[in-house]
Amino acid sequence: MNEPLVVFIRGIIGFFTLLILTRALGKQQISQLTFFDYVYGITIGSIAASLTTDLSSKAWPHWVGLITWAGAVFLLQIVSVKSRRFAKYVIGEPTIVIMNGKIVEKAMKKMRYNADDLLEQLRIKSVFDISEVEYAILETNGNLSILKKPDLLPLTPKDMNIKATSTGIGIELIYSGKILEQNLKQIDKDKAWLKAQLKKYKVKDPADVFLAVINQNGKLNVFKYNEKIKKIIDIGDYKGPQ
Amino acid sequence: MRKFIYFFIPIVILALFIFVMVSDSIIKRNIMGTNKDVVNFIEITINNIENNQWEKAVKSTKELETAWKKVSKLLQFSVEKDQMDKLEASMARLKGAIRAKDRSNALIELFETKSHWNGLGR
Repeated sequence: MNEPLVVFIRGIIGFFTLLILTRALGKQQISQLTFFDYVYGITIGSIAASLTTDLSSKAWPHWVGLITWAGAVFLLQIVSVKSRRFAKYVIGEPTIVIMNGKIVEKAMKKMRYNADDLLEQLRIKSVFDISEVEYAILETNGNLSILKKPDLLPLTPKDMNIKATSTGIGIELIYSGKILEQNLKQIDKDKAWLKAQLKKYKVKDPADVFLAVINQNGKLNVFKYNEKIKKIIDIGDYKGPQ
Repeated sequence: MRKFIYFFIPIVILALFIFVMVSDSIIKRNIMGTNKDVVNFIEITINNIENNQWEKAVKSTKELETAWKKVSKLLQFSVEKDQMDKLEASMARLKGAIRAKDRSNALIELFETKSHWNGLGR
C-alpha cells in the first residue's frame, strides 16, 4: 500500500466532505447550543481525522459517521424551525436575570448562574456598575444581553431632533483589481463611467485599485495598491533580532 | 441553471467519493478473467501443488504476485491496510513453502491468502 498516497486521497475526501456538509448546514449556530457546537466540532474533527489517517479501517464507515452527524444536526435545525415546542425543549429559553434594575435570584438559581458569572459577563459588555442595567437576559447560548437604563443609553440623532441621512450599504465595484460587473449593473453604471470616476483619483487602470466602494449617496471610495502612507505606525513591541 | 450547477457539483463530488470508498467490490468483480485475477492464480497454484508440479507452482505464484501488485494499486483506497499486509505476509510464506516443496504449508498459505482476499473490504 502506498500509504502517503492513500492518506492524501482520504484527506481530500474528508476535507471536501466536511466543506460540503458545513456549507449545507448553513450560517446559523447549531441549535444555539454553544457547548453542543463545541462537542459537535470535536466529534466531526475526530471522525474526519480518522477517515484521513486510520488506515487500519476502511474510509467508508468513517464517512458514514460524518454524514450521520451532519445529517442529525441538519434534521435538528429543520425540526427546530418547524416546531417551536421542540425548539424550546431542546434549546431552552432565554431567562431574565435583571428586571427593572433588580436581580432575579430565583431565575439565577434555576440556571445555576451565580453573581460572579453575572458580574463577569456585565464587565465583558463594558458595564462596571450593575445599577446601570435595566434588563439583563441570559440567552440560550450562554451570552448575556443587556439593556441599560434610558438615561444611560447613548444619544441618538433622534434624541436631538436631528434628521440623519441613511448612507445605506456600500457596494464593491472593484475588488483586488477586478471590476465587479454585476455590481456595476446593479447601480445602472458601466465600465466607462467607472473609468471616468477613477480618473478623478488619478487611477489609469482599475487593476491598480485594491478596493473601490460606492455608497447610497453616490460617493465613491477608492483604495489603491501601494498607497503612499508616509509612516506606518508599528504597534508591535518587539524590535527584532539584534 | 445556476442553481442546478450549485447543487449538481457537490452531489457529483460526493458520488465520486462514495465510488472511491466502495470500489473494492466493483474492482474484485471486474478483474475476473484478466491478468489481475488473483483468485484464478490462487486456484491454479493450488492445482499445481496438489499435482506436485512445483515448477509450474513457482510460475503461477509469480503470476499471482504480479496480479496482486496490479490490483492492490486500485484496491488500496477502499480496503484496510492490515488486510493487505496480512495477504502479502501469507504470500511471502507461500513462496517459502513452495521453495521448500512443503506441500501442506503451501496449501495452508494458499487458502489463507484466499481467505484474506475474500476478507478485503468486508
